[in-house]
Amino acid sequence: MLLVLALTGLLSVSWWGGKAPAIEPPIKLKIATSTTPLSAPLIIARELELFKPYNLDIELIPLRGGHLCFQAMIQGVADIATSSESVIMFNGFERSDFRLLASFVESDNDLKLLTLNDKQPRSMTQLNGKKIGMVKASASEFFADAFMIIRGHQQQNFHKVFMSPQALGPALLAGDVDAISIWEPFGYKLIEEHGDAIYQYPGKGIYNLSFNLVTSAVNAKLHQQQHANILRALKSAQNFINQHPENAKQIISDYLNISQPELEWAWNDYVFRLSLNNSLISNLHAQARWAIASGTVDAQVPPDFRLLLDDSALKQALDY
Amino acid sequence: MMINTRLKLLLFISLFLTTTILLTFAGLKHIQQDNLRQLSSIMELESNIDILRSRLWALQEFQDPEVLIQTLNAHQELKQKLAKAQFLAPSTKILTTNLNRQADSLAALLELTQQHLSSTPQRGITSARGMLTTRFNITIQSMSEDLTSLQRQVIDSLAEQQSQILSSTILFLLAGSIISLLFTISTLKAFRESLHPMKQGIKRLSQGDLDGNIKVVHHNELAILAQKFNAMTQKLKETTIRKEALQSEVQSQTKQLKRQTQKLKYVAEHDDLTGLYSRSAFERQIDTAIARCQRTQMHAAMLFIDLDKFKQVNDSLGHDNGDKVLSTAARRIQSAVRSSDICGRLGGDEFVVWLEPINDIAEVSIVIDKIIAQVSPPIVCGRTSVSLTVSIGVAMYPGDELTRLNLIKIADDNMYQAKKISGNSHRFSDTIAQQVEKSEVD
Repeated sequence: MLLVLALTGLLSVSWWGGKAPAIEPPIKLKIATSTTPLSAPLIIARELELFKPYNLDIELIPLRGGHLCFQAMIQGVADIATSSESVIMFNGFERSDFRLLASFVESDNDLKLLTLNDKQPRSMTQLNGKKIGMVKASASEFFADAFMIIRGHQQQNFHKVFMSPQALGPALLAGDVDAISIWEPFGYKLIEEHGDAIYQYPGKGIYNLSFNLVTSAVNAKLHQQQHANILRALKSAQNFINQHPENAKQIISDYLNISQPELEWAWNDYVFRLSLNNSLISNLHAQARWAIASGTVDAQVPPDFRLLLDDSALKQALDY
Repeated sequence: MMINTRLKLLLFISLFLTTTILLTFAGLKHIQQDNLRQLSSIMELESNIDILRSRLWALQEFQDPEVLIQTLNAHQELKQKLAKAQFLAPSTKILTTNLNRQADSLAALLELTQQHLSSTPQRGITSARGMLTTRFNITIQSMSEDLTSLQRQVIDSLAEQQSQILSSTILFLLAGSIISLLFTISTLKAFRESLHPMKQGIKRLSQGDLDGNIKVVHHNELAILAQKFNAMTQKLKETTIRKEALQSEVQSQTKQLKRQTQKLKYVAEHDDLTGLYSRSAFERQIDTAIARCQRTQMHAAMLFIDLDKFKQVNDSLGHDNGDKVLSTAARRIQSAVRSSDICGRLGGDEFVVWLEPINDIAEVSIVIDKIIAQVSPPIVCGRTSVSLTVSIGVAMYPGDELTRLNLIKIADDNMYQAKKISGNSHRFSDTIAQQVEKSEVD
C-alpha cells in the first residue's frame, strides 16, 4: 500500500512539475524563414503550435532566400535565420559573430541548372563562353560553379551574371542569360509554365544542399535553452512530417501558397533531420576552398568553420 | 467469497504472473536477436563503405578503367546491401533513405568520373577531378556518419524497448504481487475469523453447552460448516430435552410403580382388617426370625391367641361390629408387645405373636399378662360394649420346637388346652410349664 501511495505522490509531483513553466510569460523570438518547402519543419512547428509546450512565442519572418534571412539576422531584424551552408560559407569569410546551431534538412536535388531547350544534343562543353545567371554568394553560385567544373569547364569559359532569385527565370526567358542556376520552387515554376521550352541539366550528386539554423554568437550563448527548445519542437515537427506526410504537405502548401504538385516536385528529395555532422564542416571547407581558388572571395585562407558551429543546443535537444 | 474460489483466484494470479515473466524473457530474447541482426547488417554496410572508400581513393589517384570497374562493383555491392538492409525503428527510415540517396549521388558522380577518365589529370578544387574527389569524400563521410547514427538509433531503440518491457513488467509484477499479497492476507483473515468461532463452538459443545450458536461472519465453506454445526447443535439440544423429559417420566413412573409395589406388598403381607401380617407373610417373617435365632443363639416365644366367644359377638352384633372388635383387639395386642415383636392374624379370631428375644420364660408371662390387660377393657359397639377374654397357647423356641410348623402347632395345641379354662387363660407346653414351676420353686 505504501508503495502505491509513494508512486501516486511521485506521479502527481511530476504532473505539477510539468505544468509549472506555463505560468511564466512566453519568450518571443523571430526566425527569418526562407519561403521554400525546405523550411517545412519550422512552418509545421508554427502551424501545429509545437513551440507552445516550451513556452515559446515564435514569429516566422518570410524572406525570399537564405541569403536574405542571414542578412535579416545580422541586422537584428530576426533572432534566428534559415540559410543554406553556402550562404554560411560566404559569410564565414566576412564575419565570425554568428553561430550555426543545426542543420534541419538536406537535399541533393534542390538546385537546378536550367536552359532554354533548343532540341540540340547536349555536350560537355556546350556552355563554353555562355552567360549563366545566378544569385551571388549563395548555393546558386556554388552549384553553378561546381556543375561547370565537373563538366570540365574552366572558370574563364563562362560568365557569371548575378541577380535576385525571382529575376532569374524572366532573364532566361528574355535571353539575357543562356542558363540559370536556381533553387526550388523557382525551377518547378519555370518548367511548369513553359514545359518543353526549358531544359534541365542532370546535376544529381554534384551538390548537397543543407538548410540550417543560424543565430548571432551573442544569442547562441544567451538563448541556448530557447534554441534547444526550438530544436525540440523541430524534432516533433520532423516526426509529424515523417508520420503524416500528406497532412504536412497540405500545411506547407497552404502556408507558402504553392500548389500540391509544385510541392510534390521536390518533396521526395528532402531529408528532414536534425544534425551537425563533420560532413557539413567538410562541405563548408570544400566550398570555401572553391571560393578562394575561383576568386569568388578575396581571402586566401578559409575560415575555421569549427569555431562557427555551436552544437550545445542540439546536444541538449537530442538528449531530451 | 468461498475459500475455494479465493485459492483458485490466487492460483490464477500466480499463473498469470509466471506467464508474464516467461513472455518478458521471450520478448527480451527476440529483441536481442533482432538487435544482433540489425547490428550485423550495419557492420556489413560499414565494411562495404570502407571498401568503396578505398576504391574511390584508388580511382582518383590512378584514373584507371580497371579501378573504375572495381569501384562500380563495390558501389553495386553497397547498393544491394542497402536494399536488403531492414531496420525496425521508425526513426531509422530517414537514415536509410538518405544512405540510398547518397549511394545514388555516388552513382551519378561515378558516371561523371567515367567521362573524365581520358581527360588531362588536374588537381585542385577548381578542376573536375578535384571537385569530384571532394564530392566523393564528403558523400562517403556523410554515409559513414549516417551509419554511425543508424547504429546508435538501433542500440537506443533496443535499450528503449528493453527498458519499456522491463519497467512495464516490473510494474505489472509489482501490481500483481500486491494484489496477490492483499488477497492472501484477506483470505487468511477470513479463514481465521471463520475458524475461531468454529473452535469456540466445538469447545463449548464438548463441555456440554448446547445453547451457544456459532456466529457466521463470512460466507465461505466454514460458514456452511458453522451453519450445519448450529443445526446439529439445535437437533442435539432438542433430542437431549426429549431424553431428559423421558428420563424424568420414567423416574416418576418407577417411583409410582415402587409405591404401588410397596402398597401391593403391604396389602399382600398384611391383613386387610387388622393391618397385622397375613398368615403367609407371618410365616415368612417367622422363618427369617428362626434363621436369625439359630444364627445368634437367641430364644424366642410364639403366642397363639384366640378371642373367646367371638362367634357369639359376630352373630349377635353383626359382622361390622365383629370386624371392629377384631381390629380393636389386634391394635391392643400390638400395643402390648415391643415394636420388634411380630404380630399376625391367621384367620378368624386367631392371632399369633412372635416374641424375640426372650431371656427367660417369665418375660413371656409378663407379656401375656400385658396382652390380657390390654385386650380386657370393654369395646364400644354402638349402644353396647363387648368385654373380651383371650386364650393364649405358648410355644418356646428352642425349648419346644425348632421349626415353624411345629412351633405353631404346639402353640395352637396349647391354646386349645387354655380354652378349656374359662376367662383369660394361657398355657405353656408341659415341659416348659415344669421348668416354670421349677424356676418358681427355686
